[in-house]
Amino acid sequence: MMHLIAIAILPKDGVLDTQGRAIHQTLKREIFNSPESAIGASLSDLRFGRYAELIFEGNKEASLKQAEIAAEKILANSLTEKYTVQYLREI
Amino acid sequence: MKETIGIIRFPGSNCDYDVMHWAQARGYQTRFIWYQDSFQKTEYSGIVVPGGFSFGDYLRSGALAARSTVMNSIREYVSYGGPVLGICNGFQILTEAHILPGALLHNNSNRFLDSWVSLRKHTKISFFDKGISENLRLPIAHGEGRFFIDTEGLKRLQDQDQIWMTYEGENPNGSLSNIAGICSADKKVAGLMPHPERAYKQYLGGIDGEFFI
Repeated sequence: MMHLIAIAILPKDGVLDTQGRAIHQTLKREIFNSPESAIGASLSDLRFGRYAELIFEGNKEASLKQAEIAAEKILANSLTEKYTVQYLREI
Repeated sequence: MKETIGIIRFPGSNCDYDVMHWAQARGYQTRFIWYQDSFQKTEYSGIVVPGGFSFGDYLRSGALAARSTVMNSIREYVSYGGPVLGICNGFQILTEAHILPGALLHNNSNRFLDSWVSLRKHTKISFFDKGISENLRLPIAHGEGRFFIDTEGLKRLQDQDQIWMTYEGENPNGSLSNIAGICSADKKVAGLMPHPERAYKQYLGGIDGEFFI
């Protein structure tokens, strides 16, 4: 049995996210700057992070546990980043 | 016999030879240590983790290097009381390995910085201070040098006299409390973003890096 698990990593709230800030500014300046983009919502913040998909072989619970270890031990820096582990599907 | 400085090399280290020339100019013999190898703690007077772009800065600067085999030897060396200096990417590796506290994040300008900075030394570390002056100028070359630590961590650094160097005048990267370098509570392990090994001869632009080693 194979399991596809997603890990998403974002800078913690309060940690200055320079990449997110640069993307946010460019979006506002270059993409959402026209009258056509004024459609009832405006971008107020953007946080930028990383995304990984892990494939495990074995049982589902153990796979999720392993994914948690991967996120905790290496994919995220617990001082500056937060992460979510999400089971996507059996493959 | 001359004392030996061990210089750790990862794929992507690029200040390894600068550190070699710097240490040799100061009278040491040097030996490179490959990241997949282990080393004997008694063979070295000091270990330098040099700068560069280990593992292409993939994931986070220093994150992959921090989890390689040689770091086990470095941990043993540290618990034995051996002095370790991490410079630039070496500093990032030591924080990622949790040998030093904190993290080094993207500069607040989000730009790679290559310039000379003014620094102030606040404490004397063990071994890698052979008479560093209190006010000095060294070059920086980094994209991720913004020192960050949580509130309790910063208080601990202050209380235990672990803030080694701060930027004077302009803070180039947005580092918390202008921090450019820190050390362990016992002063044996230190990390610094500026490059002393690029400043030990007048023809390099300055000599303030000379008396580190």
